[in-house]
Amino acid sequence: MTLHVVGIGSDTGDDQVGWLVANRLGKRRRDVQTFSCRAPMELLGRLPLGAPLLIVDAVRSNRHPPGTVHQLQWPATNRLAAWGQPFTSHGLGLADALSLADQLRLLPSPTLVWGIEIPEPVASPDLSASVLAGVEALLQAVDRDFPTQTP
Amino acid sequence: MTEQRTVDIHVPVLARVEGEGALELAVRDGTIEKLMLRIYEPPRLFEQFLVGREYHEVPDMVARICGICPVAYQMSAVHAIEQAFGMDIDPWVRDMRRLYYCGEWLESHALHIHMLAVPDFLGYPSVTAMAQDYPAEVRRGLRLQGLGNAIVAALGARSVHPVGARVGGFSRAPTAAEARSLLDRVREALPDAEELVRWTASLELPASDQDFTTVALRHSDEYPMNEGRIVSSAGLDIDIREFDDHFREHQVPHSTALHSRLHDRPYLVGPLARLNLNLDRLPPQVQDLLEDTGLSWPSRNMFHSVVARAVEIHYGCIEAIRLLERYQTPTAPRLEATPRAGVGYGCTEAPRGILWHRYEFDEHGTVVDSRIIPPTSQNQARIEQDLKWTLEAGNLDDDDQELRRLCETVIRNYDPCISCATHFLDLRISRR
Repeated sequence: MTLHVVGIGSDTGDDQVGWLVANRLGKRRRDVQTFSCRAPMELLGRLPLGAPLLIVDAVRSNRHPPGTVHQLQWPATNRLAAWGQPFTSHGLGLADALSLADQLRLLPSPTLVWGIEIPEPVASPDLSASVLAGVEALLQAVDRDFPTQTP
Repeated sequence: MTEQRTVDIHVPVLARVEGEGALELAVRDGTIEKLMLRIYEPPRLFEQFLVGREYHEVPDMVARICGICPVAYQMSAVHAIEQAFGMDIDPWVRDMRRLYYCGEWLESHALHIHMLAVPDFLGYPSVTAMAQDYPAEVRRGLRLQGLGNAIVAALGARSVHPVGARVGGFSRAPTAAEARSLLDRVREALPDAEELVRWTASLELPASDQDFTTVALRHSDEYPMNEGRIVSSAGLDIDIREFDDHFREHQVPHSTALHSRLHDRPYLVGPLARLNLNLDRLPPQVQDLLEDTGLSWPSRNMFHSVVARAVEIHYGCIEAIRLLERYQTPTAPRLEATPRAGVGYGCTEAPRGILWHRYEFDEHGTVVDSRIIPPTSQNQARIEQDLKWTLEAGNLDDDDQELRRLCETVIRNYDPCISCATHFLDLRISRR
């Protein structure tokens, strides 16, 4: 079984958390295929992908401490919306991209969305310590929920 | 006698546009008393960020102004810088800059047609709702958008905020194999682009016959992208350096974006203006398809903008095929720049219309002064003019919900990029 992991974000600050998780999973597991994109709508151009599909993105809900790991299984539009307003162009966020992909029957099952709560964005190239701790927790959770299968 | 209502409508957040804006509408005794497109997104002060920076930093910095049209910002900037430094670019770079622009038009226009505009015309609240009844059309839009992104990434290293554009050319030239692969993808997409033109032309678009001035670039022998003179439907024909002699930017209290006027009048930039002023610059294949639509061009129906965008996607595919068929790997992907003190101007056709840049450099190539006039700030006064015309054309007695829907449809039709202009919709309607 191949695990498909998509990191959403950018290359700076805490917004890079989705890319970092995808990158680390790709390096530590041979059964993982990854790609990274900057905007959720970019994901649509890469679908369909096999299952399971894991999507990792930064979250700013302001209701949980930085580093908190969120997880939901699609469809869960309401819960995704509760994570906060999307920080993306044209207001087309991850929930919109996944809803459209679902409507077009492009989403595999299961599709899981993992988010890591980030603090108020600051001008820095680096991840904050709390978010790095969240990355570690998320990597362990992926290994626990999707253990590498030996032939 | 019909009683005339007094209306106050406030649309607090305009959806499906880029950036943050609002509309305030007050109607007293059947007459529009106040109509203001308020842009409240905070000023981004990009022009001042650029002052003190080195010339080679400018293309990457201006690409950050917009996630939808970064290529336009890069292209206006590099042409201005090269003019200031007295550089002549080589034919390969010129070709690749047109290809790069084809990618941006495909990506931006496909997004606007399918995700933002057509749901209005077909009566859906969103593209997701529209996809239930029009899945094939939405999939086609996604394919075209994806192709645009792939073209931008081939030259810019990535599709969002690309980094490949340089003063003098590009950081890297695609390999011959990459160019062939891209050519195959564009050829495969051509039927999608042709069908898109037919589909948009078949939509039941609202009737509208308005008198407005259009402004676009015009090139001696090709459909304009990176070069040309600034022309208008009112007879203007100027070098891009003469922009300030004819266009005036001014501040309005209700907007953090400057309004721009031509000879003190609103004007239109963008796909409809570009197409109306450059019909004879389209290749025969595109002209034939346009004629087959049965629509009359040039058009005074603003809602034909959606057809104009589809036509430019078709043109973008044909132009990309032409450029890729003759692709040859260059000996170097760029010319090296030698900075010198001076002033340079760049004006290119962003998806939403002309994007004008002016830079002044010192002898080391450091930015001393910069000015950027994006298409959305040029269209703001025209959008307000269109809203007034549309509402006074017999729609003022519609209920508030219908008025709001109509106003949003009119505004979205311009594909305003408020983040670029910040300098968008919050509708407040006041009826008394």
